[in-house]
Amino acid sequence: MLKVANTLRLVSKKGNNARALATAVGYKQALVNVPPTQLTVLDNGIRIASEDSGAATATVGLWIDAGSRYETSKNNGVAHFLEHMAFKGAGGIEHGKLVDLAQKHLGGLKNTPVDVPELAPCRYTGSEIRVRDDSMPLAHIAIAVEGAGWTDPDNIPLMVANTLVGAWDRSQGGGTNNASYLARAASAGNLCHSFQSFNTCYKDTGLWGIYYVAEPMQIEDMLFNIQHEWMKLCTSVTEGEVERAKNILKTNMLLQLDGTTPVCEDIGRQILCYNRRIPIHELDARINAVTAQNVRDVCYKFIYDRCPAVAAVGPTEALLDYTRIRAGMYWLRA
Amino acid sequence: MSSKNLALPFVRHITIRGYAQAAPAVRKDAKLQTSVLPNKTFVAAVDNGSPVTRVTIAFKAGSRYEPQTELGLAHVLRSAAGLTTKNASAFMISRKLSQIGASFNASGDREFIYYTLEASQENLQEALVYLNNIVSNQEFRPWELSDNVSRLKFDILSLSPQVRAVDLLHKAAFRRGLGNSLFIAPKKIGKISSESLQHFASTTLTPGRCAVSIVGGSQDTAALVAQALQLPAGGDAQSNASTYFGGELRKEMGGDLAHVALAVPGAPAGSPQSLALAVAAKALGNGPVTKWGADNTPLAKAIGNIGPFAAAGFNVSYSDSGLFGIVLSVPKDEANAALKAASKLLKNPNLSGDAIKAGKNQLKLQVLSEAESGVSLSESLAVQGLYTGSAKSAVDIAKDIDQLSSNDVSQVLASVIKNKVSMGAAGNLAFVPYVDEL
Repeated sequence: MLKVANTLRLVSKKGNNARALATAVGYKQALVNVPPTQLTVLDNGIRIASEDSGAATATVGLWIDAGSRYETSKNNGVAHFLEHMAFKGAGGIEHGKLVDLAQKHLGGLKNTPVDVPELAPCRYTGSEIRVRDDSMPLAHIAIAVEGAGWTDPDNIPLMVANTLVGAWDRSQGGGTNNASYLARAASAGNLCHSFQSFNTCYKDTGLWGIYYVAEPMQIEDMLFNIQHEWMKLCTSVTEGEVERAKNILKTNMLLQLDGTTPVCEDIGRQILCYNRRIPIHELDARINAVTAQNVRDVCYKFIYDRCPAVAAVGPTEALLDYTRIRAGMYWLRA
Repeated sequence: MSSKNLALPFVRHITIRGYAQAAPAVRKDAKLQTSVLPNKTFVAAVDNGSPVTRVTIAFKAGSRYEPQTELGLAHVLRSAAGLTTKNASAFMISRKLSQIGASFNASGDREFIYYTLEASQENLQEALVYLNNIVSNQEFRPWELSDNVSRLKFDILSLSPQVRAVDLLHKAAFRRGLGNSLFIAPKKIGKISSESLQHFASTTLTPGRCAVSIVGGSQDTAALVAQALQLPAGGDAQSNASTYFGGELRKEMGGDLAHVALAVPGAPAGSPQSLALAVAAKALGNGPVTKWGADNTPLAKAIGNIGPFAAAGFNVSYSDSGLFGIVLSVPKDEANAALKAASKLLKNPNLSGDAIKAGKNQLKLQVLSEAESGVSLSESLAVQGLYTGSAKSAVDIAKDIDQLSSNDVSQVLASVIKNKVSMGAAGNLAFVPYVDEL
């Protein structure tokens, strides 16, 4: 599909300045032309990863696999005090120097995993929590289904689906011209103040869904449109829509790596999640490989007829009962 | 404890068209190239090998060029970016850019308007066609402008009080020209006609007032973008000279906090003085440097332990003038004490060598970090071109900062603080003193 689209674009392009500009070859080269990530493992298991991008600033981050899921009922909340750390300063840093510093300051830490709580399998349960507060002007609602973990191959089609639904708020122009169905519906029908589709990943599971902020009387109409869009993803999403989402996802992926601090976060997270750094060209190829049929299949697997998790805060009286919301997760068809 | 909520963009207002929500590897030999085309358009390029390309087309079309009878034009102009033009409908622009994953936004400050495109190199050619169509031959169809009214209202409603305080400060300091608000007055919404906009565009969106910059592309590409623009060669809007009057403006908005901006006249952009003042602003204080950390800056120490507040030095430079001072957000009951302490510091800063050294380091980091973000680099190159006719890389600016001695900073500071202080205030002003009581 991508190849065909490219060809069509070349044929139909209007004859003006643009012809002499950058080409797809340049893009591929740019993706490969990324400095390598060097990885060293200390004796105690601490991994040191660095990427010398030649930038004028350097960010050094320390990442510990110690989020709130490792808490027990006794020490609940403690992870809040152990937020990740990152330091930024001017001047580059060599991998060897970084390893020496880590050896000096962190090499003495003993790797004694006696107290590490064992992670129980994370069980997802479709359910709801409502905190009704009619004194708040707007309702804040999140609804999601169980998504895929970081390493799950279905994650990329889910990311494409998530990008396809998109995000919108009232400050954006072009509302009724927006390519996102949901943004058009929200803008034309005045259904919400903002919405944001999300795909949150963890090691072994994830949450795929949407967050929106709406006036009390618009909650139900907005939810109807959201579920309509979700069902469309599962059954009849088109190649053109998927192509758009893939292009946006690729641009976003590249934009996220702007500057040393985001790159540092990316390295830290990927080393902890995948034990390696995934090159951009690999991600690009994986996104390119997604077809509309993939998106339909994966969405059918993760979204269609699944029990959603619903959380709502504010004037939530008009939010449908859970069973009614659940009934929006499938279509009755002959 | 102070918070980081002052790290907002005070002097710019961004309008985003949501075509796509909005880089990567840096090539070590990336070199900045600049030139001026025969039609006087400034062109700059940094070919850093990034797979995402940013293109900024900037014009001298900020709010300072608004005539006093048509205040708010610049706000409507940037809000109208992406509406139907002679060669492309709003629908076409929106859908085409979205389909190829490109994103576009228009933003503006008192001097300039910026049209910035981000697209992957793969799709750059097509995206540039639409960037050209957005900027060239704008038509401002009246029915599209009236559809856009609710968005202008939203812009005004979502303004933070800090931004309002700085806006009022400019009006108090300069009255007209640079004193013009960045934002349209609520009563003017819907009253700016298509003809006024066309007149404003024809006298401001001209080749001689234009800069094109590209990050992640070649100088040739930038020149081609500039040459392809279809712009009127017509008039040349003039601004009131930036005479500093000084004064104060207050907007009582209620709430729990008072937001105040205090300033003396600063230095014009590109001058060594403006760099020295930027260092001084950082040296005064910019909140805690570590999250949850203590604020040990001279400004925080001067204000003392009055409970939670946020305070920062600030410095803005325009083509012919500037403002240097302090912005402060403080609970209403502590406003009097905090403001008196802050103004005492502003009138007699007496910064230590260590504070100035810290200020230099912080400014360098800010300059270098901003240059890592493609959009801010691209826009800053265009700004430099429009101000000075040339552009410097962030590394060179960092070297200039290194060259400044503590003495340079103290001298410039001593010369500006002799001037009359201006004040802009918004929020709960029950206990905010007037400027002559400071």
